[in-house]
Amino acid sequence: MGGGIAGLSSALELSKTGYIDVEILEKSGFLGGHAIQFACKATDRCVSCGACMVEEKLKQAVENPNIHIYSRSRIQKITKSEKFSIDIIIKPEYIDSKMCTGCGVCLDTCPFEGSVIRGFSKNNMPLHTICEDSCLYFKDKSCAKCQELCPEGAINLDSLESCHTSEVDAIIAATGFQPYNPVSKPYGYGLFDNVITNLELERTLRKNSTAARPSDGKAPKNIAFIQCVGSRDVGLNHLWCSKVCCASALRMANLIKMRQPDTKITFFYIDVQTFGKNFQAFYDEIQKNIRQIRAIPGDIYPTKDDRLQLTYFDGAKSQSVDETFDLVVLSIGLIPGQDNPDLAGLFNLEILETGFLAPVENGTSGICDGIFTAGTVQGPMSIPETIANATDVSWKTIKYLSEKDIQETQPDAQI
Amino acid sequence: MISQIQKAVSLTNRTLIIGNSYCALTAAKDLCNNGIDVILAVRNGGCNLPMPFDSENMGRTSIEVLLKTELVSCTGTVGNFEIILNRNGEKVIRTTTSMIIAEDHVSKSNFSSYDLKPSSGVLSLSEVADRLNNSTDTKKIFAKGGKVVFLSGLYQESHPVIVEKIMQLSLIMQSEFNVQTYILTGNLKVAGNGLEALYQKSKESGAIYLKFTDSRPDIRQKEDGKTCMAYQDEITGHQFTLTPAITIVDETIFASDYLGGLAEILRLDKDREGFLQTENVHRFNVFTNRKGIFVAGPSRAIQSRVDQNIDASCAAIANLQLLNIDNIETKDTAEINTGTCVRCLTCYRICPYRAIVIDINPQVIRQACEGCGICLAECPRHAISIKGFDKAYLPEISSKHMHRNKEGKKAPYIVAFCCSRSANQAMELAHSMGSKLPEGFTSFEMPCAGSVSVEHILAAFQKGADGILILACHEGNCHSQYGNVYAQRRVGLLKNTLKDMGFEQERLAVHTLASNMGKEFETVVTKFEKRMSALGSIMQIEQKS
Repeated sequence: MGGGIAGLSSALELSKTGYIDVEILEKSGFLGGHAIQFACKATDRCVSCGACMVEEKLKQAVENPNIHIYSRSRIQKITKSEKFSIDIIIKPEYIDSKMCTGCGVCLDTCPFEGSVIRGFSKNNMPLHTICEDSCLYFKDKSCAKCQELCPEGAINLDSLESCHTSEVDAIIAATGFQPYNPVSKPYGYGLFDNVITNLELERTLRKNSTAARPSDGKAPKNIAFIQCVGSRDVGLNHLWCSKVCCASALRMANLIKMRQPDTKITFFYIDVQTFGKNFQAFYDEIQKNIRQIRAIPGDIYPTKDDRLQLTYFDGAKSQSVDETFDLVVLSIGLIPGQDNPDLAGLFNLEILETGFLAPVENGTSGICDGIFTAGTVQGPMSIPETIANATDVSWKTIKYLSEKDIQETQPDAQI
Repeated sequence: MISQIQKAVSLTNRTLIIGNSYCALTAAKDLCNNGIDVILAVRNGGCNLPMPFDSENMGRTSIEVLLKTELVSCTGTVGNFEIILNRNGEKVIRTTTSMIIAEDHVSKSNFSSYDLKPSSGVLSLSEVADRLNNSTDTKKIFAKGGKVVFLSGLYQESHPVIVEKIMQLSLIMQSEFNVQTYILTGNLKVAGNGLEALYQKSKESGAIYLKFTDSRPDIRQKEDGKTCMAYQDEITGHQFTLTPAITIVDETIFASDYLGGLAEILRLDKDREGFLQTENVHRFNVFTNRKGIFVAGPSRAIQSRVDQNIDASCAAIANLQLLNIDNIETKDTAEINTGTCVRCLTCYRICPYRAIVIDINPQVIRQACEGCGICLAECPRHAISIKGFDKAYLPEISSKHMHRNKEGKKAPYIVAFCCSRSANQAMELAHSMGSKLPEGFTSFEMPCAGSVSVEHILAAFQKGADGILILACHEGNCHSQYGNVYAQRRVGLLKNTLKDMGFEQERLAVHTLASNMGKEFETVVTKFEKRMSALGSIMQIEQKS
């Protein structure tokens, strides 16, 4: 369950044994989860963020004959006897993945923004997906431009939902995290165009390779990164460090500094977390380019010239200071996925105090044997950590399948 | 299940595990319980294997524990490593399918960074942890109660593994011994499972955390060995002094010295800190530059117990996957033409996967070769070839391109040699994202930028290319570790030659890209094309000269 980096990694590890078939159920139209949207943050050298690994795993997974992918699917019913029997409903793609060349005519001709969405990876075919919620055809059949103009004739807006029943021996819940929504924080997210999240900056860097202000598209001269928005927050009872945001923010800051050298960058933080190998050397280097202030700003106000005024407590002066920036990036925390309580209830999984799901040691802990959790459904993890965790879970799944001694039949696992 | 596969594959099924870290022992137990024989070679001291071993499965598998044993030599390849060990002076010979290195890391106390000497009032973190396990001894330390100061990451960045120890010890002292603890810290490293919650719990128990950003406390050791420290509070600006009964100094974790020797014997790449895995994402999780040799837990990075447990699984699954022949065989491996080879051993030296052995002539081990083609490009005798890759060896240039160039007015003809793992993927991404690449642009997919030889480049110029781009992976991201370095070096040398020949050096360039950099691919190529347009056709220079 879940076609993010954890799901893809587990699927690959299991299928590499040569005797396990895997099905991936993915809710959205795109595989690769959050991580497929991330930018490469290498400057002159690789910084080991792992974003390219997601691309590689996705490519391997779609090419692997033992991995069957059901995108845009939702679970209708699960029953357990000898095996799990899972009834899923698959929403139509509308775009035939075999015929589609990813040319983008559908996106260009669509009169209604948001009805045709382009994916992030060429390895995810079809590259585009059609949203029933906003598409005019599904409202009143008043527009079918994409279908008419598709040069390959690959679009059929009248495609119907289909059903599929999976018979599997084990299930890996890899449904991931959800990003913290910072609207309730005093930073004007959603009110001011130039307050964005780190995930939005990742996407911008991936798409355009440089940073720009959403309000006017201009290159920002002065950027502030605010860390721990929704993490390490006693008020929210979020008693965890999201682990990935210091790395993500500092690597992106460093990248922007290289590509747009005139940009001034300030990093507001509580504690800079260690990440990657040889952190000390990276940190020494970064301190030369990026101003670091150990404080979390109180609030943000817009100025008359469309900039943002930030108030923070300056420890060196022991007083509050106001400063203006062109762009503010909020490093939002990783919080438990919406589905976690349902998943925990359905499979009798242990839900932690934090709201994340506990790791499952041997697959026989709950009433339902053969259920595992993998990846950020367990808590915040970086891309490399997620891959390692998913591999660990794959090994536990293999052990479980061996112990169940089900060699006679073809073992299956579902992710 | 495993035995079924074994029948199909003629592999012995034995693994050598080196080390007695938690990770090594967990992996040993896990493999044994799942049908794989284990030889556990421990250099120092004893080892406590975690029990219970699954007795039913143990009937089919065996574990051989060799204490006081060091690796002496290793020949052969994945599936069949010939290993010589030294057990306390005695020579032990074994054959194994694979190898897992999981030697523990070592902690060293940071006394000298704080200019302190160990004394009854100044202790190391490990010492305190040991004494806390011994209840009578503990009473001696804490009899007087009073204040205890922890020094944490003030002069060098700490690590969550160390910070977790500090917070746990502080919690025990506060709650069980009624001692007031102070934690003087730089960046508090809480990026580990449950550490922020532990931090909050520790604060609730009464521990006082003093964080230092730009300033540092002034720490002095008195004649009685105890310390006295003065500091300015960063929020209020007030001056304070502390005279703790005990000062506990934090530690830094290092790779074991043994790893250096192992790297030499096994010809493994190391990182800057001496761990047996480079900072290369393609080595995640437990892979090294050699097939069938895995590095796990504290031999590849600083790791907590949880991390080590995960690594043990990763090593185990990697081992299991070796039994699937599809994972071992590379389709198109390098072949050496013994007629042309003069045994200069260039290939032996440079092969990143150590896939070349010296018999009478150098030979390629098929199972270990990954077909990167670095040897092919470096071989001074052109004695090495790779099937399926020969066709690309001399780029075929269509007459259309030649015509365009002779006119000298149309778009410049640009040849890009793209690494199949990075730039070629980036190009496909650029296409799918609707990027328009220049008219006269042609690309050639290469297995690695390191396989683009001088001959490739000269041939492309000869056939009329106005400019040549070598598009490689970022430094540290090459799947073959050094392919991009070789590409950079070759281009550097050739640029000088171009200059001597009267051509502009800019006509040859190397850029680094990742597979997910579609936009950047477009930018690099477009910029290069503009530059080549400005320079004009290469034919004009030839005509002039």
